[in-house]
This record gives sequence, C-alpha cells and structure tokens, in this order.
Amino acid sequence: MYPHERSFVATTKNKPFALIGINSDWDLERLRKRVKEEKITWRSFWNGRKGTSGPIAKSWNIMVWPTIYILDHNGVIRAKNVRREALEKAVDKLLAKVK
Amino acid sequence: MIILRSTIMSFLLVQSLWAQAPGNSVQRQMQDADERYKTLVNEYMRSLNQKRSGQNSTKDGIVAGSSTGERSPVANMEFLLRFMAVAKEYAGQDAAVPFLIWVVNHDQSRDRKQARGAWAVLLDKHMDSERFISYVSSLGGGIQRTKKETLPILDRIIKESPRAEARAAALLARAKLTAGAFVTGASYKGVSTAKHDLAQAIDEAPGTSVAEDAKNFLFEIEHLQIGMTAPDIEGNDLDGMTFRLSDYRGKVVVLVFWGDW
Repeated sequence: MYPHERSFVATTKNKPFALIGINSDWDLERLRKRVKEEKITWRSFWNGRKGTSGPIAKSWNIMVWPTIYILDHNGVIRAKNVRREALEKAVDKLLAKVK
Repeated sequence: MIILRSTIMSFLLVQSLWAQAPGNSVQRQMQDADERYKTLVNEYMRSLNQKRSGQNSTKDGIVAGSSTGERSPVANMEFLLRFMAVAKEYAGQDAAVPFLIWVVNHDQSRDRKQARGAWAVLLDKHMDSERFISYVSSLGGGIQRTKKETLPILDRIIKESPRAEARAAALLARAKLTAGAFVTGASYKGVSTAKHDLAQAIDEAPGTSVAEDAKNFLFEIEHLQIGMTAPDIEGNDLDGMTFRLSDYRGKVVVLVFWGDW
C-alpha cells in the first residue's frame, strides 16, 4: 500500500492535491516509528488511543480499513473506495476542474 | 485420612444427587449438546485441513482456492446434513440453535436448500431463544447473503420477535441490505426506506450497541454520500498539531482511513 501512495504523492506534487490520512493505530509511539521507516510524508489525523473505534472513524461509520473518500476542491464527496488506476483517474478528473 | 475420604464420599454423593435433580437435566443436556457441537466443528475443521494439505501437494501445484478454504460440495453437504440431524434430535429445544446457525453460515450450495431449511426451523421454533437473539443481533454488522434469501427472514423477525434488540438488529440489517451497504463503492439507494428502518431500530432498543450502530449508519446515509459536502474533521496529527479537513479547501483531497497492521 505505501509504495503506491508514495509514488502517487510524488506525481501530484505540484498540483492542488492532498492525501490526508485518518490513522487508527492505538500505539502512537510505534506508529511514529513506522512513519519514519516507511517514509510516509502525508499528514494524518490520529484517531486516538481507542484505535479503530476512536472518534473520527466511528462518526464516519468506518467498518473496513482502508476506506477511501475522494473530495473535490470544494470539499464535496465525489467517489468512495476506488483503488489504484480508478483512483488516479478520478483524481485527475477532479484536478482538471480546479481553477 | 478417614475424614478426608468421607468428605470425598459426601462430595460425590452430593454431586450425583445434584446431577439427578430434575431441574438440571436440561442443563446437562445443554452441556452434552455443546460438547457434540464442538466435536462436530472440530471434525469439520480437520477435514478442511486434510483437504487443504492434499491440494497443496498436488504435482501441478494448483493451490487455487485452497487458501480460501474452498471445499468440495460433497464434503460440505455431508456436514450440513450431520448438523441438521443433530438439530433434529434436539428439536424444539434451545440446544438445537447452534447447529442450525452453523448450517445457515456454512451452506455453500447454489440453492442453499439446507440453510433455508435451518432458517425456517429457527424462525418457527426458536424466535425467543437467547442464542438466536444474539445471532440476530450480530447480523447488522455483516450480513452478506443475497437480498432474496435474507429480506423475508428479516421481515419476519421484525414482525414476530418478542425481543426488542432482535427486532432492532433485524431493522438495522434490513436498512443495510436495502441501501446496498454491502456493495463496495456503490452509491446507496432506497435511502428513505432505510432511514425509516434505522429510526425505528434506534427507537426499539435505545442505549444498546445496535442502536449505536444504527445511528452511525444513519449519519453515513445523511452526510457521507457522493455529492454531499464532507463533514469537517478536527483533530491532531501524529505530532499533536491540531488541524482541520477544511484547511484543505481548494485542493482535491484523497482521504484514507488507514492503519499500519
């Protein structure tokens, strides 16, 4: 999962785009170490000590990980749970609409 | 030594009397049934493992399906029938319920005839069984049967179950099924019917985890659909800095709920 996201972040570097995570690991220390090891550069909300049942994942009714939402530049949900090529295509389409 | 022995004797005596007391025969039968259930499940698991290792060692190296626990229809049917047979021995008693639920969960045949038979018995004879109720309560989380099989079952539980939490759980499961919540990536449909069911589920069993799940699903339907403005998120990043999702307005955002596991 990480290599794909790393390269995706690299190719969208100069575009109005952000990959934002909501992380559900309960052990923050371990997570910080992993973020360094895996060179994870994108920003994440931390879902707290309760891990998967922490507040953000709970209010968004997340049942499976990873779950993906794609938002346009106005914050409107445009796609859910698309992966890889379909994800890139959806993002490109939305990027083209940003003025 | 003598004292000790007589203590043991009286203990054994009390034990045997206890076991013979009329109120305990039901309990004992339940224990027997549980033992038989465990034995049968173990036997089934063993047959799966044998099958798997057999598949792995074929000279073609064809292991497709083996890791997912796919098994031959014949072996599957044999166990379905054995579970059904034991359920029949305990007909009308609570002890039959786990055997019937096993059949519902494991029938891999195309027509799911045994599963349908097991459902029918559960609905006819065990609607108020604790074990059936706790099974129904877990349905909302991941019911994956086809609509055609499951909807009439849920309808009946909603109409006939004497227990509020079973009715609420069936309402939640029906809402998810109607909305298409188990179809990945698709937009929800039948939203107004689903909302109606969810409101009723929350009403039926306030304060329970089923009501909580129903509330969360209702929120998803009302605020997290394609075309809706995403609810704002405020929280800390991994370094403890507070930020908001709305800080990223003007940018296309891919939001990933993830974990390093």
